[in-house]
Amino acid sequence: MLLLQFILIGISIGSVYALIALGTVLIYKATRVINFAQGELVMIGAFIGYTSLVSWGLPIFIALPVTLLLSGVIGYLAERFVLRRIAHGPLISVIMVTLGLSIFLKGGVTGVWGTSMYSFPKIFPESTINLLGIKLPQVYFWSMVVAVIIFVLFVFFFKYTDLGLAMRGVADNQKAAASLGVNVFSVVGLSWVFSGIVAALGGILLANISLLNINMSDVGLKAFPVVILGGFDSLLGAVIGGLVIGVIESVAGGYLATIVSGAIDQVVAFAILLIILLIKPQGLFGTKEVERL
Amino acid sequence: MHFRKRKISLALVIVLVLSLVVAGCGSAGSSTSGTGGSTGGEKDKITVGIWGTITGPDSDVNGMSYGTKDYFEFINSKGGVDGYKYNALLLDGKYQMEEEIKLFKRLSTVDKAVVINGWSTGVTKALRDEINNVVKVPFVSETMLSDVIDPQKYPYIFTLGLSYEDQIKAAMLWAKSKGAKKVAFLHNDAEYGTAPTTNVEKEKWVASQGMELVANISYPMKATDLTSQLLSIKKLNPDYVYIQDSVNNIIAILRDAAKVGVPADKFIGNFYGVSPIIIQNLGDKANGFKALQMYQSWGSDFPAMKDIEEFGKSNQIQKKDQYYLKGWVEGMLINEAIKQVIKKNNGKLPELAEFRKQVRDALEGIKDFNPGGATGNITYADHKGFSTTKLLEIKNGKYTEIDDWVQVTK
Amino acid sequence: MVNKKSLVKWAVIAAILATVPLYSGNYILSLVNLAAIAVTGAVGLNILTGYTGQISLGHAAFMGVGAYVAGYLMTNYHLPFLLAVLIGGIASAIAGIIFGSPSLRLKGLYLAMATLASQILLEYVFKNWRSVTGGVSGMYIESPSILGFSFGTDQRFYYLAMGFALIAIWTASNLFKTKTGRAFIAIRDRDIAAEIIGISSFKYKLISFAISSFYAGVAGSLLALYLTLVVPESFVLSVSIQYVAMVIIGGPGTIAGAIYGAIFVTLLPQGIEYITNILAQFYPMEALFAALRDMTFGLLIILFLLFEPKGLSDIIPRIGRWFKGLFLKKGGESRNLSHIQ
Repeated sequence: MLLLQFILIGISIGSVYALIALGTVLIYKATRVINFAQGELVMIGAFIGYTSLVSWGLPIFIALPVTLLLSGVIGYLAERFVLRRIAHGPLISVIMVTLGLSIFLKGGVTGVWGTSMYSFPKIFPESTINLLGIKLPQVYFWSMVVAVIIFVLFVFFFKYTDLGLAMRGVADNQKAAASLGVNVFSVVGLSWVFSGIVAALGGILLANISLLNINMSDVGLKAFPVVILGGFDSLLGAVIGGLVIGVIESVAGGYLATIVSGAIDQVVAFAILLIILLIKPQGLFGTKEVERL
Repeated sequence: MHFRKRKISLALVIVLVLSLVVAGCGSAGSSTSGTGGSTGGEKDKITVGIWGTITGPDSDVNGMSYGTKDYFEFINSKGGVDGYKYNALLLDGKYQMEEEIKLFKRLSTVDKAVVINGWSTGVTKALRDEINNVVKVPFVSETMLSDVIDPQKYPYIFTLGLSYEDQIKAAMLWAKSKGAKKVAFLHNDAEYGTAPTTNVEKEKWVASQGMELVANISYPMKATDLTSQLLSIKKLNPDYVYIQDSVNNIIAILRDAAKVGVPADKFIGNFYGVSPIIIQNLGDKANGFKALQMYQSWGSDFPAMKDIEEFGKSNQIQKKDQYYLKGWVEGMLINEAIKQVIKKNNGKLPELAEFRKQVRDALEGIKDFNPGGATGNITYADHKGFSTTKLLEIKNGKYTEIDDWVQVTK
Repeated sequence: MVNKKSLVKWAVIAAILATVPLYSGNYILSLVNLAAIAVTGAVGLNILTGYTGQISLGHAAFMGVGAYVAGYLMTNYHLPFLLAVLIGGIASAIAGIIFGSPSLRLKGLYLAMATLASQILLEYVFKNWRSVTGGVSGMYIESPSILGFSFGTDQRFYYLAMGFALIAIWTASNLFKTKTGRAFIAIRDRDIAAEIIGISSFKYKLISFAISSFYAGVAGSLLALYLTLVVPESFVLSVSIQYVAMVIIGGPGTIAGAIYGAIFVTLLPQGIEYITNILAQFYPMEALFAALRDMTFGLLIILFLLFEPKGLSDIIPRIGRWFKGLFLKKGGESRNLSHIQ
């Protein structure tokens, strides 16, 4: 029973990880860029949501589209003015530029919203769902729903739409895609827009689960064990990886926290990351890449 | 393209040269300090150095630094202390050791601060020698860890408030009075969470009071979810659970406790647990949660609050919370000590080393000082200023005092 | 080729370096000392990142390994501090090999992930292996001293920090005169091609990582000696990122770059602080300016990567030439002089 409860909790929080990882995978799939600023996009999305709901007093059905639109714009700006100029540079530069971006964005948020804690307006019904003796607030259920919807949308998008196919083409070989008449820049830009939107959704959900604060962006780090486990270019991997990491953390936190000193659940994910690198570096669902000269 | 690149380079060069030159000459362009008597018409300024985490991991509690800074500005707006204005410098330590070390050296040697109001436990420890034996500057630290509180060994280090250990003990003494048999601790894995709980655990203090400590659970500082830890708590079924952490994680704990059906009235927080945002965020789920009271609630009716409100009319108050209040009271104590020193020297400022020493002595000598009703009266001989605390409980969405003062030390 | 003129030049530099403590205040010296420690660490990271083309996000954690090992040996076995620092460096190198070997066979991206993971795992170990590390409260250590001569003040520690920085610079610049050092560069420039011409990419990546971690360990030990305290918060992820930023801003793949970068990043907060303090007199809002400082740091990283990928090591000589150009235009005399020279 206790184990089942741990697993349930793990799945509920894992769906938030999955959402964040989906944004990371999306950008990697379309541009081969590892985005270290994904957590900051999540946080900014949540702050914009807060501002439009509380400061501007918009009703949720207007505030949500506004938030997603603005977050998409921020994603686009990041691509247009920073990543576009360097996406094909050495890997170190790409990683470092997104790290620079994350520091810059965090500074910007400090400037605009400060470092206080904000209580995000509850946008989901207060009633809870009773499962296995746990009263789960509805927000967890909705984050699972959102994660699944986003996942299905993206899978559909990449498989069946021209744009999605173009994105995959761009990721595989930009020059070839360009010569086939694909507007490489608009495709890449769009993937950042989508990623910004997914991040904002994750941010709003996360802010509904806990407090809204500048340190929320740290959740972005969680995306890395998830994508290493699931595979950098696999949407399915992001979802399953997110859930698995969530469950492992919860089980470890539950069973080990009373025995082992220190917060073991925080590091198990990264220990798994190292193990995966040793035995199956492309992850559970990723494709093995051939190093080109 | 080439042309544009050059322009950008030039901009970078300007930034570079400026910051290098500036850092190099930082010493030259500094402010006056509290040395010598009054020269000419304008009296000297008294430099007080403050740093906190303006940006960084624990910036959510930086009201402590803003409060102190604002108090000195408030005094300045009232004409200063005995005609002397304060030069209160507020700097950002970023919760990084090296930054904080740099700030201490700067404030103590370049700005020649008379008193320094520093931040982290780590840096207070790292500078223990320098503060007490080399620079000899009164150092009011924001830490409340008992390691550095020792008037004999560390005469220049002051803290304000019951040490975290004493806060735990106060809560446990209260629990004992309610007939508790089993208790548990929940804390984050940073020094702030771990050290005090471990100290109390090692001391076997809980057992000495005839209770059993069934668990001392650590969780990540930036945890997203704590439900599994609370399931474990539920299984162990302690009578009371002490939370050694601040607002954001208290909210996470109470939220997840509601999930698994552990009532909020089992939880007791330290003095950081008094915050309207807990009620705002959790609503009914917060009812029954208890926290230690060392300061009056923000916005209630007491003289210091009146001053803050007056100050807030013409200035922006960065943080409106308990931490700010703590900072404000620290400002009052420092100001009181400086006032006494000026009085003792017949309105003159002693030279720096002597000034620092006398301020230290004055701080230690503060007795039954009323900080505008923000807390009980403060006697600073033990460098903590507090020996008792009350418990507050959230009842119907409001913090309400319960029972009498709990006496911890002495 | 040591001729008279360069001998004079070096003598002047040595004289300047040796006398810095005589005319500098404590604050300036503390900045110099921290910068010198950063130089040691950054030169090390530059070997891995700048010369071998691999990114590490765990440099601070490896510094921590060195610091804890050195601190442990000094407090519990009373080893002389120079020996403790050396062993600290070796311990870091071993830790680097352990954490690096799974991912060094793979693409650079995976090393970034592996080092990120080791950063977080090592932070956990620092915090929780209490019997050795002292946990979150850390470990007090004595000020370093040789035969009763203590380096406990900023003035004296300067010679220690500067000495180590100079040794780090000297050894690193000689490293790239060896076959091993040149193999690093070959790997950076063309990973698989290097393999084809007979350079075992894995082996040399591992050596590079070990050497880089060794420098980190030494720098970490020095920091511990300077602070007389080892605590986990000195070795967190943001410090790792700062070190990568030093290499990027300074100029990857040049020794001078690591030096410029380390100095620049160490002094940057003070520089921005100073400017914002001036501005604050007109528009007092500390929080906003603190935010501006973070934004500036992030922006500098981005701008350097986008527009000045060769970093300060390319810009500073350019400034030198620019100044020279100014003088040349102004008067014929200096041109004549330079002609004669």
